[in-house]
Amino acid sequence: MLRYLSGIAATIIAISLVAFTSPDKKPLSTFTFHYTPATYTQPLVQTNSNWVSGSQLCGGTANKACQMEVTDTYTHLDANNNRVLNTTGNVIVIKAKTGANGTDYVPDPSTSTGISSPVDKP
Amino acid sequence: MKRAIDHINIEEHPKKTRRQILFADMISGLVLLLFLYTSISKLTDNELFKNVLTASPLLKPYAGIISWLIPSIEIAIAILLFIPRFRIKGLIASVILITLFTIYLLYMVAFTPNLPCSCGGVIKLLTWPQHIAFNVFFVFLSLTGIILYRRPKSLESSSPP
Repeated sequence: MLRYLSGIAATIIAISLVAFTSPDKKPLSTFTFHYTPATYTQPLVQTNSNWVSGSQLCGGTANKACQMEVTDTYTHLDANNNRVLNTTGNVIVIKAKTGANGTDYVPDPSTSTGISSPVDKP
Repeated sequence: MKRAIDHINIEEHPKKTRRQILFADMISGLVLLLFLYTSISKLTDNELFKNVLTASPLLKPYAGIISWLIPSIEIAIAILLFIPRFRIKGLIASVILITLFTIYLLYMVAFTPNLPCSCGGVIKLLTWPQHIAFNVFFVFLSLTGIILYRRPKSLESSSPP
């Protein structure tokens, strides 16, 4: 029985340490999502699956609001371990308005939890 | 007659040998503490652990499996270290596992030093070099435990039947 003493003590200490040192649950980090289609229409911009983490393409178009920073609350890993936007629960709502020429778009930050600013990003 | 550390009754041994076994038991306790603490930490925040694993290009394809496999192996080793008759096996397993972790750490330091550590609990606060030193210390500690457990066995076999 004496020889179990170290094991029992270690078990108690380990459980106590976990209990007292577990950090508060904070968002892990933010992830950058880019809009990937080459065309910028309101329906396409508002489709969450067109925003991809890790992509740098922005559909090959410069000077568009094609980038957004998203905390991990709004994302999850899919079956292939790719970071994707949530489709249920905490969902980013991307809202866009049709631009002046009818084919373009501008982000609508007043109703969007996605693109926070209409300012173009590279 | 079966002679193994598994069945040693420390009361039957000379004082010096008894001290060795007790010291080895303390080492087993420390290693058990390490494995149990880190495994529980990984299990209680498994999603975070998996997230960090996916940030590693080497582990990303297997992150889902590894996030459960590593804490499971650590708990298995902790159980081995808890039971006196399996402590040598537990220490050998811990040497192997910590050595594998250290090889992975060396790879990370060499190729992707900016990635976060996928370790459990407060250990993830260590820098990569500190973590490597920490692992090397525990490898030596485990090896010391193995040697100490084996020494009483050799003393026994040299005694008359």
